[in-house]
Amino acid sequence: MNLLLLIFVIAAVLGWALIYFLRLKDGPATGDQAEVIRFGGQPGDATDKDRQFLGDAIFSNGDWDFIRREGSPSLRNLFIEERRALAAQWLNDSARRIRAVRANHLRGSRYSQNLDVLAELKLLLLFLYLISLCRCMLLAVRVTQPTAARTLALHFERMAGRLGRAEGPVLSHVPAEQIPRSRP
Amino acid sequence: MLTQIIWWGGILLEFLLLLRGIQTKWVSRFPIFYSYHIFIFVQSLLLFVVYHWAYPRYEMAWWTCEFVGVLLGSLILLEVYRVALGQYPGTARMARKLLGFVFAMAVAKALVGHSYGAVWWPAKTYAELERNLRVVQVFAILAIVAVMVAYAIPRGRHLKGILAGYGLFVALSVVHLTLWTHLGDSFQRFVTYVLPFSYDVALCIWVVALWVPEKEANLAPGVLAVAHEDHSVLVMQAKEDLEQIRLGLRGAARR
Repeated sequence: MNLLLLIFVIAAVLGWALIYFLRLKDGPATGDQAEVIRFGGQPGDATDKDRQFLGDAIFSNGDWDFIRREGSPSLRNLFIEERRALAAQWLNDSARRIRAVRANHLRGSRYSQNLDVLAELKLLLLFLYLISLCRCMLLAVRVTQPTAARTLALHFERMAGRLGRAEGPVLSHVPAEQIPRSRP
Repeated sequence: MLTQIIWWGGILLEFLLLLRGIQTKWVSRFPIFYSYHIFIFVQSLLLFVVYHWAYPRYEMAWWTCEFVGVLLGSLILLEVYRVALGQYPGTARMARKLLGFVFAMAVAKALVGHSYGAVWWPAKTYAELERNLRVVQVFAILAIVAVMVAYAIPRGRHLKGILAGYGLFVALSVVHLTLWTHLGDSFQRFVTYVLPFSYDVALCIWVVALWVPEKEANLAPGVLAVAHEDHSVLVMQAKEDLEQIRLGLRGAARR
C-alpha cells in the first residue's frame, strides 16, 4: 500500500513539474552578454553602503529606546508600524537581491566548460540559507517588534557557524569589526 | 468500438506527426524522437495484424514491443538533453551528474533487491518490470526539467511539447501499471482503454507542438556572444555578492 502511495506521489510530482515547466516563460534573449550583469551595477540603484545604512537605521535599538522613553503609547504604536513596514521592505529587497545574484550566477555558469558540481551545490546551500534567513526575519518582524529580527538573525549566524565548522566554511569568516557601522 | 476508435485514432495521429515531421524537416533535428514514432507506427500495424491473425502470439509480441518502446523512449530523453543543452556545457555537465545519480540509484536498488534474494530485477511480472523502468524514466525527466528550469535554459515550443507529451505518457503509464500490478486482472477491462488513450493524448500534444515551426531565435541562441568564464571565478563572484548581502543582514542584526 505504501509503495502504491509512493508511486502515485511520484507521478503527481512529475505532473506538477511538467505543468510548471510549460507555464514558465523563456527568459530574455539568451546568450546576450548584457544579460549577465554584475550584481549591484544597475545605474540609479542604491549602493551597498546606502543599503547597509538603511538596514542599520531600521533595526537600530537607539530609536526604539528613544521612543520608549517618551512614554507615549500612540507614538510607540506608530513607530512600530512604520518600522515594521520599512523592515519588511528592506528584507524583501535583500531577498530580491539574493535571487538576482543566484540568477546571474546560473546564467553565467551554464556556459562554463569546467562547472564544479560540488561548488554549485555549496552555493545553492548558501543561497537557501540566506533566503531562509530573510524569510524568517520577515516573519519575526511581522509577528513581533521590528527589532526582534536581530535575535533571530544572530541565532541563524551562530547555527551557520556551527555548520561551517562541521562541514568546512561556505563563506569566509567575517570579523565583527569589518561589519559596516554607520552609527557609533 | 471504443477500442477501435482509440487504436485507429492513434495510428492517424502518428501518421500526421510523421508526415509533418518530414514536411518541415524536423526529422533531422529530432532523429531519435521520429525514429521512436516510426517504431510505434510500425508496431501498431504489426500488433493489429498479430491480434487478428495470430492471437496466441499477441501477448509475447505486445510485451516485446513495450520494452523496445521503453528503451527508445529513454533515448528520447537523451535527445532532449542533446538538443536543449548542446549549447550550454555547464548545464549539460550538471544534467549528466544528475542523470548519473538517478541511474546509479536505480542500479543500487536493483542490487539491494538482489542481495536480499530477489531476482536480478525486483519485479515479479513484466508489468512490474516495466513500471520500475518507467519510474526511472520519471526521475530522469524530473532531473532534466529541474536543470532546465534552474539554469533558465530556453525551452522553445518543440522541446516543451516533446517533454510534456512524453512526461504525461510516462506518468500515466506508471499509475496504470501500478494499479494493474496491484489490482490484477480485475483492472484488465479498464487497462484496455487507459494506456492507449493516454498515448493518444500525448500524441495530440506532440502534433500540436510540432505542427508550427519554431522561431529561429529559439533554435540558435547567441552563445558565441558570451565569454566562457571559468566556473571558479563565477562562484567567487557570486559568493562575494552574497557576502555583501549577508554582511547587511548580519549588520542589521548587530545593532
